[in-house]
Amino acid sequence: MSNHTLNTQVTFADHQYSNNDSWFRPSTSTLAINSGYEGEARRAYSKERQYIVEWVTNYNTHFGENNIKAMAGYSYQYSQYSGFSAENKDFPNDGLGSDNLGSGELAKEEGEVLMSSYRNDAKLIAFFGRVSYDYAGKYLLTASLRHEGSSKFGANHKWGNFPAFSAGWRISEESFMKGLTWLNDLKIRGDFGVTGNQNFDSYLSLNTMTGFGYYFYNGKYFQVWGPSKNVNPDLKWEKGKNWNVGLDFSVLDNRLYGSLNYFSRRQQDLLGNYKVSVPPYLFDETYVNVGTMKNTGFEFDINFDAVNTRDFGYNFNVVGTVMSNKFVDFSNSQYVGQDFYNICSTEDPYPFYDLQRIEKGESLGNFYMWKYAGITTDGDWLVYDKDGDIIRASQATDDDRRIVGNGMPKFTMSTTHNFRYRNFDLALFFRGAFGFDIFNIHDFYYGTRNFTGNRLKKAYGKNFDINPQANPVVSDYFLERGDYFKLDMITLGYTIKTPKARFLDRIRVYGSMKNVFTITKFSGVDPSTYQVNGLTPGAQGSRTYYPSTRQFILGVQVDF
Amino acid sequence: MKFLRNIAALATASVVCAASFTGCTDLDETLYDQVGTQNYYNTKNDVIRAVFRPFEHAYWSIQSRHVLNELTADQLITPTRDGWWDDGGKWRRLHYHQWNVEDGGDAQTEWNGCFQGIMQCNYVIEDLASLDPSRFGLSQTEFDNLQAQCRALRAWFYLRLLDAFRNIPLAVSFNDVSLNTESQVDPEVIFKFIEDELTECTRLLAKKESLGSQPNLQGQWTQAAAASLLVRLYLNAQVYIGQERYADCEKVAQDILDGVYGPYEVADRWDAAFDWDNNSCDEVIFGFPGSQGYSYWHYSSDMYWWTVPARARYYFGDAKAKAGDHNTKYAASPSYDLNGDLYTYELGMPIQNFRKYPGDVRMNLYHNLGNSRREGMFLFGYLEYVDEDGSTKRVRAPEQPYDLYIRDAVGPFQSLDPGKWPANKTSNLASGDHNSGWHFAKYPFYDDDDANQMESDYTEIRLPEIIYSLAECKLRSGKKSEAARLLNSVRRRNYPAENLQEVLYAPEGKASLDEAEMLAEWGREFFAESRRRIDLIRFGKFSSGSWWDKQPDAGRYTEIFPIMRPILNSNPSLVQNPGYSN
Repeated sequence: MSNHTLNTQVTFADHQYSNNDSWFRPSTSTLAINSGYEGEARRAYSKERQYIVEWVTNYNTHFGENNIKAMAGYSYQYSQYSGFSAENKDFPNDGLGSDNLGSGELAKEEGEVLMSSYRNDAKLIAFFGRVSYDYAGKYLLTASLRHEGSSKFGANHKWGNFPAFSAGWRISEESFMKGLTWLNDLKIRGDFGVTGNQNFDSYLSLNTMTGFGYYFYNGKYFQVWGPSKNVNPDLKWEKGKNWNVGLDFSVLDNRLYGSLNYFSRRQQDLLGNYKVSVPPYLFDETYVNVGTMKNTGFEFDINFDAVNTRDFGYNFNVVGTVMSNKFVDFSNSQYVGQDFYNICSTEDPYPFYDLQRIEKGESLGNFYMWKYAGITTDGDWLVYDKDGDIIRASQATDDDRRIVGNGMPKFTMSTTHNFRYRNFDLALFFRGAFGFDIFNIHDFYYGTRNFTGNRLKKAYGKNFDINPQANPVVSDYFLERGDYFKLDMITLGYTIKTPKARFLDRIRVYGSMKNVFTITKFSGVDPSTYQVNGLTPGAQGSRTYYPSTRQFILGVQVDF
Repeated sequence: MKFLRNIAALATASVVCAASFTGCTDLDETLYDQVGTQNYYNTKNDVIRAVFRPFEHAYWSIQSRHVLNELTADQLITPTRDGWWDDGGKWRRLHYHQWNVEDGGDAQTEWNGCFQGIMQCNYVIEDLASLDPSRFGLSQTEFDNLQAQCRALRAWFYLRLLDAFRNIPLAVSFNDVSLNTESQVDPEVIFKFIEDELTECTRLLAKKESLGSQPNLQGQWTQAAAASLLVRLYLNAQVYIGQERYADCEKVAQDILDGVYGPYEVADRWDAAFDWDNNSCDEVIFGFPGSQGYSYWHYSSDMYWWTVPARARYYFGDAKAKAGDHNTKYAASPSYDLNGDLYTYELGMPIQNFRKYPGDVRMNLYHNLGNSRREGMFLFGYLEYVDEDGSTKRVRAPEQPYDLYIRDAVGPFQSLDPGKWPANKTSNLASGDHNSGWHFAKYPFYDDDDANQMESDYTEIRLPEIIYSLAECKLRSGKKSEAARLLNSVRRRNYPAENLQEVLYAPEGKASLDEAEMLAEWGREFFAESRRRIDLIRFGKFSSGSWWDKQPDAGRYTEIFPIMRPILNSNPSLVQNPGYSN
């Protein structure tokens, strides 16, 4: 006997976001006095609108132990961004704030425009379908396909196909596993899928004209117009080809459960700005697909309910990933690139060599710089040259640079521990990253006597022997292990037993502390503030720093 | 039954969708705040805007040329002052000629900026060739003129690249890249290209009709402007391609002087070519149009805005000027050591060079005289001004508490009295302060109440350059008196009548003229005009000479700049210039 269901639904969602911005600087502010204007003000309005129409049809059927589910759908997503702004300076009275922009004097001056507006939009359309089949919840198969198009890509490359397949085997349901009473659930699974990325601005594949500065012709000034960018009509989807093989398990009466997963992700046709040659192009950068990158690794997620008695309970969870990365190639069929790309430049006042190099066949996050060899007696830097001899840094060249470390953590993890004793509850959350280096950018800028400004104590301590005339050099002297283990949150709570009240179920008081302590050898600022995702893990060229805070929270939780 | 009803519903929905299928799958992009290139040209103004895009870019691009040709030479310096302007030694590397392929900076901007300008010119030239002028209310003559102007502008960019890098690719088309070379060509090829283009342009371009203001020629390439570029090309031919072309230089320069390409005259004031009304100055052959409300790329940090003390806004009264706050980037290379004695260098010491001929009006302290007029070119000593409360103040250093007493020497003077010298006698680029080196004002800094503040055009080519080039050719061929007369015709406006007998070159006066004096006079008349490096190279002094805080270079390879690493990386067929690493 079979039965089936079929349903279809259409969803419409509309999201609108308006932002109204008023800004005013009074004539009494030091910045205003220095700039010579009596008050400055600005009003800006921006709007984002997105709406989605989605139409999905589901069909389920089963016969015998076979279950089949099918789904087909269509989705249309439209986004539009627009806004305008107006500003003026030199107001007759500070009391007007930004509410009377027309009374300012600056707008009357020749050549001042002081207003702007913009509008752009994007569309995303998809046709998709999925079929799932399982036999008695033991053998599982799914296949899906998404045919998606984005308006941002070139005319001939707007659509992309994104298939996915997965298969699973719930071993614990097999008859030969039924005898193992300690095993509650064991499933082995594997899947392969293709995802896409279209997260960038609109109109990059189109040849457009835009305005630049001003020139003079026949007695008056006018704005000149020209091509706004190098055109790339072949801009297409960045695709990620991912596959996973994993194991989900639950044992000991579901007290110990989790999953283990091996993954491999290959990201090809990476989207990004690529340096091109002028001539023959008009600009020295084009937004193109070029490059392939691979990430492989192993992740685990383990949960254990260790103790659970009336008075005391303890459970914990550990999640971790071991990952390696490789930048496979910089080129594609159209753009033959170089084999490496230096990245992450330092900023003024030491705008020297870049900190990292992305190289074909190498991992992301390689620090590529000179190897420190010591300090001369007069405080000058010494580094190793390419043959291994020691030379002054002022004699060293780019050929002497080499890979001296890597900023991508080999292993990241986090773990939560929950304790319960009578009415008390205690939760601890740790996280850590291991096996990576960080370039101590703040030591580089502020840590030697060369810097003209406030300096770190290290300039007079560890780095005192460095001659104040010598600029800091980009070498592994400033490279340190970034490994850290941090207690990120601790919460202690107490549930007050209240007499049976009609509206009151429970009152709990608690205190929390965030960013409790960090165990690390890194001598600079909090190592967890250094980015480890993105193209430059472990490195930043900017010397700014926003301190990581420690927070204390006290609260009362009342359940009705 | 219900099942069949659902199927029916599904079927109807599919039909509805199929009917509006195009709407369901339309991914065309709609432009709002940009215009698609294919439907850009509609009106006359659209054409004008597109044609002058490379001109505006050209105006912007003068900044990197100025840094490369002045900070590497013997007259201008950027010393470190109380911690300011150290920047990891990048200005010192320019001064010591110790640049390398990793430096990026202005040499990279010069390459990219010039080639971008060339490609923009190619783009416009080809667009003009494909459009029909009558559609836009323009005549074929006007179109031809605009096209010729773009060719002259393109030749100007190539001249800069030939001068800075010598070995460059040749690109003449935007739409057909097979017409361009990917790799570098011999300098002779570029030289010939520039020569042929400019020679044709001297016939195709408009000619100045009469003396006085001609607004329709402001910012436009004219016959005289194209001919002047030929003068520049021929004057330096020995350097660029190893062949002397002084005879050709002399011929073209003489023609310009004789008015063959239009009437031009040396102004009676040294500063007329830089003043707010220089668009009507007959000495100016080509200037980029500048105005405070629009474009003013010469009043910028890399050019003339940052040639004065950091707090100079009090002295000038120009806090509201749109170019922003002043800064101390450029100053004159010093003449005195820290014992108070004159240096004995053959080169540099520009202020001492000016002192050689007494009474030079340019040596006066800069003052705004009111009514949009100024006097003097230098800032030295105490800079006194009257503030809003009526009290007399002196311009102070920006951070340390001392009044500025600007000296023709580089050292840590701080608040020392005039006439006193610091104990530490080391004088080099790393040891300066805000008193070190005379500052200067080539273009005026009128105050905020003056309607003509920042209204000067940027004078790219002026008649004295042609006169001096002609004089140099004559000097090189032994006609010293003719050379002297030519130079004197410009120089006499700088000195009071009673001094002329002493300062003018023989036979009109007592001063003597030789090659070293010619180079020094280039340095005086064209002080800080983006050409000192070129003149030093031509006289063989750039790599072998020594001046304040400068030893001779290891070889002559420093006469051209290296091609910077990001450019080499993006075009693998480029070969690095000799003497530099890859």
